[in-house]
Amino acid sequence: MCEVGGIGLPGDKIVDKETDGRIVLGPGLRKETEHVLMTKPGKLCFKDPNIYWVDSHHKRYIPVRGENVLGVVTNKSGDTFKVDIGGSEQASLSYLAFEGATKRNRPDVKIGDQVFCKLLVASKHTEPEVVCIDSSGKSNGLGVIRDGGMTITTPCNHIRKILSPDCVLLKTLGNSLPYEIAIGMNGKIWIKGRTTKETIALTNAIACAEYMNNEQISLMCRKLVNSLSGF
Amino acid sequence: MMLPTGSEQCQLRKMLGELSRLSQPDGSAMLCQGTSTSLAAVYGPRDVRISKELVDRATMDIVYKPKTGLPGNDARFLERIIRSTCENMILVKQHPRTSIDVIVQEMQDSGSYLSCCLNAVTLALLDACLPLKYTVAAVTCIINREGELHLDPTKSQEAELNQAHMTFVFDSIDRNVIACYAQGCYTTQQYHTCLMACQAASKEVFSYYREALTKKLT
Repeated sequence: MCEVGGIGLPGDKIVDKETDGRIVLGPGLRKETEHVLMTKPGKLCFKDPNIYWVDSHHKRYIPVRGENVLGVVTNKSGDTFKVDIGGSEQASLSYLAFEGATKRNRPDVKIGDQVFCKLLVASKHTEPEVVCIDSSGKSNGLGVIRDGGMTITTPCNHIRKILSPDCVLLKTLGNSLPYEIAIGMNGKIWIKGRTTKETIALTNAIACAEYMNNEQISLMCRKLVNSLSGF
Repeated sequence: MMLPTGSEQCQLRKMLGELSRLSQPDGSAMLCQGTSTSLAAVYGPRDVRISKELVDRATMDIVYKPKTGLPGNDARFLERIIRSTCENMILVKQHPRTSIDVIVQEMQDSGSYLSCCLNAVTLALLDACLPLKYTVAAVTCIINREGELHLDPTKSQEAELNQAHMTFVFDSIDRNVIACYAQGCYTTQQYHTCLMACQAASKEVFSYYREALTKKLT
């Protein structure tokens, strides 16, 4: 038996709060006969009115439709590129799925380029498909990432933590060090500061914030800024 | 048939383990049961060769690496047991057309090695966060020449002239037997006594899993 907020293991039954019996199951849960069982180890979470899910510690990415990911172009064949997004299969990226691309005007993408893209199709039975435009044809921050910066790989739960509105990491860092960042839900983060030194410092700060709470993060950021400016 | 009497006989050896021991795999675990130690690594769900692809489920690929030399028939046998147990435990239908690779490295075999490997693999699967139906716990026991039952025997106890050697695997929901590997001669009565003793001991393994995962996730 696992209650909301507790750590459960696969096979644990979840204890339903006082809802009217109609609940929505998120990741890590499945229904078997009249019980709801956990399938992944992690913290059982609940959100009003009736949503349950398991917050777990992932290293391998499983593509989900609509998520932004950071991938590397590995192959060019005909009118599609193959992009490695860290899932079980490489995603395909059409050359028309870039801002301003037409049949005559091909985008300038080479093998080895890094692309920040959105998952358009992600189903377990088919190959994932990514695009670098939104529904109105604008790039909206997506596209090939060029001119420097640095990419790191972290577990997927760390990405979710950084992107959650409660996390102060990106805001605190941005207060004293301006930077550019692209965060992919597949665990890849591209970051670029004003100088190489700052980029390295920012990368280290993000990588080591995995097991920190908000107070520790603000303390760490303060120390980092101090040591960067030579105090 | 004598029931286990001494406290040493009806207890498992101390379990010690470490999750995410390796940096490259998606999940890994090192588990020591007494001095028996094995290291398991899990990759997956990752891409699969077309020849091995299954359209409705994930392909399980298990590799057992002995401490020295090339893997022989014993290794194949262990791989087969681990594969069938894993296929039972993992929700393979959730990741069709992918492969889940498990690598088990022998570190030190000092008795009850099959159960040590299976428990290490379970921990590694939990660390990799693959969708599981339940967790499993394996417990080994022997019936020695005098007809006494010993849980979690050491290598020297296993090497003696024993009547029987059994390994049971239980699931975490109802503690049902999901696998059993037995050698030797025994009566139905003896089999049931062993089963009950192992089932009782499996509780310890499950509480160890919970303790290890709670430590990792908080």
